Amino acid sequence: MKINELNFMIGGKAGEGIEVPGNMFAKICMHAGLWLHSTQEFYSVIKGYNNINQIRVAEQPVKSHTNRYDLVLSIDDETVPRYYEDIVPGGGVIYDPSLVSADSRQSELVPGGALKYDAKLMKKALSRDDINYFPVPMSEIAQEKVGLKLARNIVGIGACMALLDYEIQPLLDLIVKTFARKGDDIVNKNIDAAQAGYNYVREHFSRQFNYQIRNVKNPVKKFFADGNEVMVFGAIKAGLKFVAEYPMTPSSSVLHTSAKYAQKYDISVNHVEDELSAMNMAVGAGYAGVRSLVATSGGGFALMTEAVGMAGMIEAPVVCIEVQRPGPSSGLPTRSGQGDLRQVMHASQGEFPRIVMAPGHHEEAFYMAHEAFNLAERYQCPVFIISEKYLSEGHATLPFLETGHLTIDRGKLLKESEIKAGYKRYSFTEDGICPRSIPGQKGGAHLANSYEHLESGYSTEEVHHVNAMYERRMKKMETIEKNLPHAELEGDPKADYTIVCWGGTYMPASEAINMLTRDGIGVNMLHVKYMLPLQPGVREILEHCKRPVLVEGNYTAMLGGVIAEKAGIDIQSKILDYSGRPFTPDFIYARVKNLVK
Amino acid sequence: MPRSPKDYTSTEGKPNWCPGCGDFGIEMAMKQAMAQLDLDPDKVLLVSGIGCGANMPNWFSTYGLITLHGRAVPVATGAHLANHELSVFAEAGDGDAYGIGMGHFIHAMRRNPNMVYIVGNNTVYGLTKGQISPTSAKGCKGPSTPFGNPDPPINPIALALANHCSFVGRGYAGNLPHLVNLIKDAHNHKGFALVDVLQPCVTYAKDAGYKYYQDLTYDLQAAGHDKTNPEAAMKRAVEPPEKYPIGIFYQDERPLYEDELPQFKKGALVHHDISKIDVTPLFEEYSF
Repeated sequence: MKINELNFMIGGKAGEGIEVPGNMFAKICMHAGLWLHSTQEFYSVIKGYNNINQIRVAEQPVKSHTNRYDLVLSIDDETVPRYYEDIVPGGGVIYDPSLVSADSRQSELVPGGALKYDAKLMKKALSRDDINYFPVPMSEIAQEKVGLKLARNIVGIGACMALLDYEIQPLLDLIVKTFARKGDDIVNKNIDAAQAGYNYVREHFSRQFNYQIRNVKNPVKKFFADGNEVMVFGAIKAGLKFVAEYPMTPSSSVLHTSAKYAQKYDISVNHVEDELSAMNMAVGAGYAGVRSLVATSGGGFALMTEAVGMAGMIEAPVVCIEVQRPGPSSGLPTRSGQGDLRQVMHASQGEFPRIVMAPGHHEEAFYMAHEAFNLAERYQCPVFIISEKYLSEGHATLPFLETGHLTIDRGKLLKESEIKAGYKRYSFTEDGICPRSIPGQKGGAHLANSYEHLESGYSTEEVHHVNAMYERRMKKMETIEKNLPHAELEGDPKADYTIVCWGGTYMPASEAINMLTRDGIGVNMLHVKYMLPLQPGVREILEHCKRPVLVEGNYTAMLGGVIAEKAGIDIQSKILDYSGRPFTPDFIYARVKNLVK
Repeated sequence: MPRSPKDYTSTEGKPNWCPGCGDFGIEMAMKQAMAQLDLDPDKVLLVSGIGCGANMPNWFSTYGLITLHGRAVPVATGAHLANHELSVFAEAGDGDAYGIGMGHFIHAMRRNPNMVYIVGNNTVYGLTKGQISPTSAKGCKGPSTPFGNPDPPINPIALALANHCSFVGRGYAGNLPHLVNLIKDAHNHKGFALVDVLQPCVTYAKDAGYKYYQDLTYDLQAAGHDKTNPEAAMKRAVEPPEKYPIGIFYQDERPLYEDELPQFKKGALVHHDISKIDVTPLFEEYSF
């Protein structure tokens, strides 16, 4: 019997609802006191095509998803033939026999999309002798109880609760909480649907499954959120006052989440006409003295490029979250990748100070988002948080995060009383950072100028002025570099292998390291958190590593290039993936094992 | 002591426009309007795009922000929303506003933030040396259109009226008293106020000089135009190009962008205390 350790997956067609029941399953496990990690794989369509929601559950914090499932809930015809091989021996699948049966006719072929299956494949998918099949007539039950076949997903979640021998009450409570807005009728129908699914499994498959969910004693208080949500929480904690965004997958939930809390936390949240407007507005707001945020993905960021340079030139603080999806161009809108590092590092003409950082997991995303606003004001420059779909749309449980130690650092922002006669906004200073006034402050009037300028902001093209101002501005980059936290090596410093990665690849990589360690292979990890300026200490760490192995979600090993350029170390072993799917621990494990041979 | 244009003038240098440029008229009209409105220079933010006229903030002693080509409006909007207690003037040229920045212009009218948008409209690209602009007449010749402009011009006034711009005005850089009053009215208007300013380019649009505009402009208000009547406004806006009505085409009172949002009720966002924000309720909300 496996208790409280389960990799669950729900699969169904877009528009049929796998997100709501998936999140219900997750929240019930959280309610039981368990830790979770969940990720979704879906197509860029509103209806049709097979989507999946993977939820991994354990009594200890879960670092990453895996693609080996213990329990699959299929609410369409395609999940079973597509994923039956990925179910672990002893695992099980709940499916609807009216959708999935050995005499299924050939599926309708959708070019580039749905799996083409026929009766032969279906028969194979339904005849593994090492997994458990649980046919539950979910559509029929849903039709009978709710009058709507689509409610089969809720029937299915009820069925899962019974199969996992867990009580049904938390699910019923959650249904009330989730559907309360839609009225009693909807609530009651969903309750009936869930109860019917639960009863059906109790009657037909009682205690036939060797996995259970049980309540944990004295669990840590947790919440369940995706990476974008926790970044917005971090931003709100940092005093977020302004957001401008044009929706773009997978960054849109930054806009949605900040909009949801705009009135509670007094934030001006603007869904604007395009990304040009988004970045320009945010720079204007940052210049005028509020903590200002934009979020986008690679394509939208390309449109923001010119304004990024303006922020650099007028030295306005602004924070940009760039959530990567694979490119080039429209690429794979709903998938994950790490191909935008160089774009973010180098966007906009000319040279100017900026900071590029990338969190590795949800908790770090909260604290980094908070820190980004302090850095933007301390160094008066644009700050970029690069994330990817895997972190930004992937969910995890987090403990109620400690925030008592977080402070607001507004850098050299002057109080009105500190502004002296003859004040000059862009005055020369030792560290390159100038005392800053904001519009409305008495005596602080100045010109913020996208042209090269004098200390007052007045335009100039004279060589000695140009050079002096340029050098003063770039001096900030040295100051930033000096003050960034040093890179750290995680794990046994004497290990034979060092995984070098950035961003959300941290999550599967850290689990892969556990797997390798169990096999007696010594692996530690260098997770680079700041790419520009490259975090200090990277060279020193790599100089002492026996064999570094880059793991990146792109084709050209972008971080590898940055390290070669800035630290002078050209990492030879590379594990790269550009399929649009996040790394799994198994994949990294297998590839490192290959290196060992 | 009453304020004067000098109170808004930078001590750093003098404008570098061609002698006789219409921008001098716009600059003086803005400074006179600010003085007559008795605006505190430290409470004024002048945001410009890129172009001859957009160099304007160099010669102002208020807060100024020279942005990018086409982007004066979104930058000004962001700054305005951060601190809606400021007097925000966005200022651009016809290429800036009606070419590269057209998208922002249209959406700003819809959004109706409380700011003035002054567009110096000289029907030509000056700083890039005389190409046609979005307001150049069909057939107009320039280095990019040696055989004549193939396209008819944009009508910014009609466009603004069609987009529910809450204040649609046009001035002329050669009629200073009228322009000063128009800018004052635009500033006192609650909402997004467009002031399109006809201006001669003495270097690249010599056909349309001061005499040309002097002869063809007439004062709408003196002609008895009812600025509350959108149909009458549209009629004036599409009058044949031989006549240039100046004044207020249309004005209405509708809620400001910031009026309808409770966030702004507690004063300018920039003055909100951000030192003690509690996000634990968010963790609670995402818990179960």
